[in-house]
Amino acid sequence: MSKADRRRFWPRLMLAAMRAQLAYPGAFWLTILAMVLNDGVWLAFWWLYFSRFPVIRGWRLEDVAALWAIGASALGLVQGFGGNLSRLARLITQGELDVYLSLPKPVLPHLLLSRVNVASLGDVIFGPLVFLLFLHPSLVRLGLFVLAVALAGAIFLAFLLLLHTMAFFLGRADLLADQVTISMVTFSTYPSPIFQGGLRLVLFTLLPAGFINTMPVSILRSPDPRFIAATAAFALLLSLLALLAWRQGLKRYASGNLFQARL
Amino acid sequence: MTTLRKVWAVSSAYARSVWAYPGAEALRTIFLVFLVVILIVFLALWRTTYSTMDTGSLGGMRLPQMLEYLAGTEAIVLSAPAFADRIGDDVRTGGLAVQLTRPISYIAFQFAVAAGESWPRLALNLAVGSLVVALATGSVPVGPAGILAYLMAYVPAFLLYASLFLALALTSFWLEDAWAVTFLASRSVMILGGLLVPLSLFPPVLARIAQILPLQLMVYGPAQQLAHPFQDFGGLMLQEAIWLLVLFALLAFIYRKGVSALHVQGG
Repeated sequence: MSKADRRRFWPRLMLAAMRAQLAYPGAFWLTILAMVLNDGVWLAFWWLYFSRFPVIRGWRLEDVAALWAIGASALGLVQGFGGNLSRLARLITQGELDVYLSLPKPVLPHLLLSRVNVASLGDVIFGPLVFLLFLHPSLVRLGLFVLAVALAGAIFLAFLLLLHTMAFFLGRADLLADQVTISMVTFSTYPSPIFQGGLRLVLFTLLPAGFINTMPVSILRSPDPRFIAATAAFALLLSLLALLAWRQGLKRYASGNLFQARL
Repeated sequence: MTTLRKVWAVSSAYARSVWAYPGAEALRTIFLVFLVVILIVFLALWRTTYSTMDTGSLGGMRLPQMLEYLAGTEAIVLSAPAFADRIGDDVRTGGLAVQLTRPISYIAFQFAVAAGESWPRLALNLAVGSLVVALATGSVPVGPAGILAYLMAYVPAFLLYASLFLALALTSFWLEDAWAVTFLASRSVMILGGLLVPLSLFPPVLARIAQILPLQLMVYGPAQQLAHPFQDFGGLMLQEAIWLLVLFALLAFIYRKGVSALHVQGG
């Protein structure tokens, strides 16, 4: 395989994963539409809320719309194109990594990018759409939005990877992974100033949703270089920790002797 | 054996099956974790809202009552039956042919299964939700009267919810998969049913629209009984009864049409 072929492998892999889902175009587009509507219902909830209480601790409807734009884009990209991420704990527990371990490609990206999660693609459409329609896009704000999505995406990816690799050490960790994921996503979609005291500390450490739900104010509305630097440092640290856990975990991996074929 | 006794037999069998496999039920605890998480988030949100507005009452509810209301709405929705999956499977696999030969009407069977699965879960969800509210607020905002009123209003509310979603799920007879239709309806319940915000805090025009529709009777109606036991209870029951007649008629119509469509296809 030439160098150019090796470079082209990853986009081709993603394209193949996308084509596999497009085999049923009706279901594909319906699922995406449903997710866009689902996200829209949450924005409708916030519209209802802010129509009654216009400002809560300095947050307005626009800030929550930004929160949803950033969160949906970041989580959608991570879970949409890394479609196996949300199934990783189960794949590990059931010993289904063999097929990726036996091929001459880096295991983790190969595993993650081999599947597209269609519902999450709805988030990928919803997030930028909200930014374009409601958040006064300009070149500068677009740059800040992309930065926020990149940082939020890095935190989501590292956190979820770390969570799912617990399956190497704990055995059945899929239920735990699902529950912590839903908690992380829920806390990430509510304004940061409503969380105080010990809970706030948890949201900036164990369950790092606090970094994400602070972004609309500290990156998009009035960019705070210290917050951006701290978030980037945390994302880097979490990524290193997740990669370390993955590498250590892989050494403990035991095959399920499952006969699998990749079509 | 009367239909009612058959319904009871199926319901109690399915209610027992909910607890027969602890592993499977443990998997459902994800909903309980979500319930606890969402109530913690609502506590943070509404505590901030009450303090920002510098008021003790919003929409006629104090903070503990508001949280108990939200525990009540979440308990209803998180224990709601999933008709679309079951009926869609019956249609796609051909299992419907067997279901139709049972000595109980297909509709009555679906109601019985839904009640058997939903009611124990509702009790569990409400207990967990109320416990979270009590621990978080340091007070018990609901007494026996509130729970009694909630449960009494819930029975017709459940029948309304089941009728509407069963009618929508029956469109599988034509569409094969009614997931999208029922998904849209469930999202309408989230907003217009008062799942996340009580109707008393809606903008006036939207509140009037929501009052006309039956969705608020399925969630807001019973849940607000937790905050205000037996308030406007007669009116609520009357509204529920009228909408039940309408939705039963709709369900019967769709079922008759659907079954004859199946015959036409030779099913």
